Amino acid sequence: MHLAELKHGEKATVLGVAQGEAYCHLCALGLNAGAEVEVVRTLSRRTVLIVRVDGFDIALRGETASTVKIRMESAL
Amino acid sequence: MSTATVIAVEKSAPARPAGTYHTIGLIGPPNVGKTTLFNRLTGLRQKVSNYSGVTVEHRSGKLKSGQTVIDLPGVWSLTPESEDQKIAVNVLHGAQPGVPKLDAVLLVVDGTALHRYMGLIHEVLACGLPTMVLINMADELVARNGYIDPLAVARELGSPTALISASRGTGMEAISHFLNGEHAAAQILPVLQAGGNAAPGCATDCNTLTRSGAYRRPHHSKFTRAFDRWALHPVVGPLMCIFFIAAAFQIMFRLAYPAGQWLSTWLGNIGIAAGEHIPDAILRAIIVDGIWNGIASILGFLPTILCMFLVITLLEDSGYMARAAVIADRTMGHVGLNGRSFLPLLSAYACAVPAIMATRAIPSKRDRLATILIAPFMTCSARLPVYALLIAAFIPQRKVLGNLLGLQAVTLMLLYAVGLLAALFTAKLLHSSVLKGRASMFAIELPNYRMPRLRTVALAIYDRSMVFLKQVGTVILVLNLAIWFLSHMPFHNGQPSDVGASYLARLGDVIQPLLHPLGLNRNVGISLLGAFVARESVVSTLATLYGQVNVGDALRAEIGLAGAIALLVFFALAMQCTATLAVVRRETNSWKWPLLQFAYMTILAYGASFATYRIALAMHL
Repeated sequence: MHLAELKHGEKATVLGVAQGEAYCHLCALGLNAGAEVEVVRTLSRRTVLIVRVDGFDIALRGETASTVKIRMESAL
Repeated sequence: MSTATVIAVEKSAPARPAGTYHTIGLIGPPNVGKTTLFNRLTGLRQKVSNYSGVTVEHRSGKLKSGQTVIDLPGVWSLTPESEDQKIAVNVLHGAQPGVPKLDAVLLVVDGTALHRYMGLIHEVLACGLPTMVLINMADELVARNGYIDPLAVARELGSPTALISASRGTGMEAISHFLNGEHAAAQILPVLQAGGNAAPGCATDCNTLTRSGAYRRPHHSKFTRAFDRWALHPVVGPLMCIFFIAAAFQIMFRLAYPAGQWLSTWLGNIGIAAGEHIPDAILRAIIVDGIWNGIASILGFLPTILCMFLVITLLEDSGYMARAAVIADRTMGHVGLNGRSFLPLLSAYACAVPAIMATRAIPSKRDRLATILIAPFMTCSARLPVYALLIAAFIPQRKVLGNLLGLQAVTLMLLYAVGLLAALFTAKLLHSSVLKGRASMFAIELPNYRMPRLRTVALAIYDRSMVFLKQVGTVILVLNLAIWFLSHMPFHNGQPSDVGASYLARLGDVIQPLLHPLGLNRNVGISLLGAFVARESVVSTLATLYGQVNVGDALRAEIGLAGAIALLVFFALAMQCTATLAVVRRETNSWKWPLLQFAYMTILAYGASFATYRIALAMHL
């Protein structure tokens, strides 16, 4: 499952970021393995997600978010 | 912890004699107050080697003690992901041409999100230079219920660590202790091998520190969350963004532009008054008409440029700019760009040169190039005097839309729209041709809102003014003189010749055939040639060419409304700025892009201008 699939209000744990253009940038924004994420807002039909990562908010495009692998909290 | 000054040193090593750190690098991620700290450390003893973006350009300054501090571009990791990071990494490794090797490093991180910077901290420490870790915004961390034990952090990192507040100036003495070698640089633990395979920024987390109780994360501020509810709202958000931009333009047109006009008239009058004390007529003409009047007319739009940068700095320092980028991302996405291009394009309304410098913060190479190529279409402030002149001369002061707007204001808005549409069209064109590729990535941090710091804003404005005044004092001065001489030479018996018989007039005759299809005359052609060096010089060149006659009246008689509209369109679209071409050449590191850009924009401008002229004639304008 990846971050772009997460619905508004759902929480998950980051498993890792796929290698690619956005890799380092996303890690630097706090999307490291183990980080807790929650989608707090979606903009313009989910083209942009506002994601709370360890208590801080970041904004990212849906396509970019799809490179972040996650695991739902409930599945833990 | 109110003063938040703790210097923690673990594992004492032999102290270096005082003053042996000659060159000190200041490194850290963007938006952690690195620039604020740099300004506080160096005051006005700074040297900006070029036009600077906020944390984009690499600047150096002197400490009171005479040591040199180099402000490195903001980086998230030492993996060269963008131009900024490449430069930072090179400087850190002593491999950047023209930059001395560093003796010590000050690493600034944001204490309110320490866990995110652990990767960078370890990478920098692994470079092996004496490093002090500065945990900034310590006051904010405490205010928001966070906690940090600097001694434990220092022990964990094996490096001197201090809590500071760059904006309040606390913790500065710890820095000078470290830089003067009064405290031993702790032995650096090889935490991460430099250049190792470990994923940078991802390998380490803050778990040890959190577990040991040395660090407790604060909460995202309540105000930030509450405000973001509106700032990122699907309807209110874009309206808010438009409101801020509209307010910026209102201030620019209602206050800054008239103030500038007044300034330039006032300076012009001073020149005339002072000129009466110069006995020699030719010398007086050279000094007053050739030098002073040109400078006076150009200084007149310093307030406009500064006003635009004031607004941009305020929006950026307050944290709002990241939200604006998110809001703009959707629109940008339609033409293959992303929200990160928003700030550079907004800056381009003031001047394309710093805007192009600001594109360095865009991680994707392709997006960056596209932004560079379209930035000069945005209506920069140097176009304004020309628009103002032509609009005042040709467009009647009539009310339209039920007395809501003046026809002149509508015309000006249309010209801004022409530039913006050309930029978006070009971005789309680039995206589907030379810069084809996958949709670009976009991810941006939404920092906490904070009150813009007076000091940061004031220094940014000071920086801008200096860059502008330098330009006026050199390039524009020389150009004005050159045009004056060309329009008065050859001398006959020591008397300057008429403009009509001058070298400049002959040059005008050469380009006349090209301009005829656009309905433009020789004088306009000459002024357009001068505009290549400085767009705004069109007004002063025309004033020189028409002598004492009112330029507006002269143009009305000679080119007519159709010609004026054609000229406006040409001016809105043409790449007439050598400074921009030079900076594009430098930023893209090739002649290919600036030349392509020049050819494209000139052809587009000529074609659009020709079409406009023909349509205007057909409508009997």
